[in-house]
Amino acid sequence: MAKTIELLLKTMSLMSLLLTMPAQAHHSFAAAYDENKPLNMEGVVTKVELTNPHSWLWVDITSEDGTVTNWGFEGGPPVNLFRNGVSKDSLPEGSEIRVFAYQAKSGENKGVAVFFEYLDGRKVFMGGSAPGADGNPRPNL
Amino acid sequence: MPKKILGFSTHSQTHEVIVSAFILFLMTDAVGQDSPPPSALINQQSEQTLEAARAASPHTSQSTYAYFEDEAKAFIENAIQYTWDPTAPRLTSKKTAWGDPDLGGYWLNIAYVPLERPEEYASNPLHTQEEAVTAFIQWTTRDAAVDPATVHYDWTEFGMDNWQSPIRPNRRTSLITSPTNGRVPALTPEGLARREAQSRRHTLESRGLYERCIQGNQGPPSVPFVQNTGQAQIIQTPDHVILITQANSDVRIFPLNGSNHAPETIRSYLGDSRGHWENDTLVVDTTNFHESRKWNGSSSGLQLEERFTRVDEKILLYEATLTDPSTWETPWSIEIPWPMMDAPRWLFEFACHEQNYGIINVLRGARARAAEYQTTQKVE
Repeated sequence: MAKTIELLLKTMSLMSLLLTMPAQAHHSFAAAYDENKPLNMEGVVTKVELTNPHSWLWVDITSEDGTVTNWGFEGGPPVNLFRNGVSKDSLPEGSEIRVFAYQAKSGENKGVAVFFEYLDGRKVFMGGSAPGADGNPRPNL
Repeated sequence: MPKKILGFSTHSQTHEVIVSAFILFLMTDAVGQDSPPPSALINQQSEQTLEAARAASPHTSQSTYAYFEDEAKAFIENAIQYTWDPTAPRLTSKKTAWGDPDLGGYWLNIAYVPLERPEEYASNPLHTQEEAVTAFIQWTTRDAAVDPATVHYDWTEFGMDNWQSPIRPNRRTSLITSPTNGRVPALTPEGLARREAQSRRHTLESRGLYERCIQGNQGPPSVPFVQNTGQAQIIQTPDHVILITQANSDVRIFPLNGSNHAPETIRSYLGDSRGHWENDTLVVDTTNFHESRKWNGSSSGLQLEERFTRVDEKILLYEATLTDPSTWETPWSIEIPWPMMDAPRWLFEFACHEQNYGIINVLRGARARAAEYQTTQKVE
């Protein structure tokens, strides 16, 4: 096991090399969203749609002049959320969240959300009872 | 209550989609006949763009990795005890009540090993055990460290990173086992032309069957994509074997009764399959693929042989050989060990509703890019 740890440490020192490698591309994203329009927003959840193959979160955003607009954000597949113990009741309407996203290329009030998180920093879909989400290892093979 | 916009300004738009407008939209190519190249329709991320996005993000790759570090390390510690070694002796298969090899259960088609062998391993089809583990740790670490400039969601948050599954290290340096260079054989001129014609553009018809929710992305053949589509179930009877994949809930039925293939006029997306046992291995021959199927440029004349062998209590070995002389200059083969799925061991329904938003966003985005491309061309 000492050898394992040694390998781990060796790899961690490679982190700086790994960070710039792009993640796997997915079919919807390459055309739909604009890499030049990152969005950094906070708002209130108005609707959660757990539809395959992509979930959608709809969030009311209040601008500095008080105007409220509803934005939709694309996220990952419900099949995996279900597998991790997330249900349709896991994120109640009215929850306050932070979103880092990229806006749709069409310019609509839509985006793909890289990060959904509560205002205290917890990830929206990785808390609570989800196995493995609390930092404990999943059941072994 | 903090509800302010921290980044860019918003555009107030209502965008109710009514059925008639949607159909009209799908049928109309708003950009015209002068199509831009496919490369003009997707994200073009310059280093400058990437750095701007990283600067805008509230998180860095390092801080995201830190969030998952303990779980990722615990996963690695467990996984590296189960490195796949294709040279190791195989265990005797389990048997069903009626004496056939028992392939039944829930399996995950997943791999970190690339389909094609990277140049650096050109003459080296097998890692040492230590190299396999090192590569595995690198892949896992990269997955858990989400780059905020990927224009993609954080996969770990949705439980869909490969390391959040029973994926294991593998001594192979490519999934392709033949030809011996571990690369897809050269395309024939006809195959090359077909693949180019299949490029995704800004029209509905140019998008793939998976993207349009018509078919899953698990082939045949089953080449790993992402883990949320790799889940599969095998059900056996004395007369049939049934393979169900979570992706689009595709079902393939393999009759074992020695019957002939369907007539050539009957074509389907999943092809027409017949199976038989060779010792402990289920061998499945599939033909009669549909013309509109788009699998890496393959033609409807693809002849597919797949082999399923339970080589361990919790490993199903999947092998496939593709023969399609009008597409590739030689046949080629892949090998993927499928680990048994973690609990919960069942499939979830994958009713695909991409038409709700997805295909609309993709086509609108692609058409906006196409219009930009044409404007730019005119300016130049």
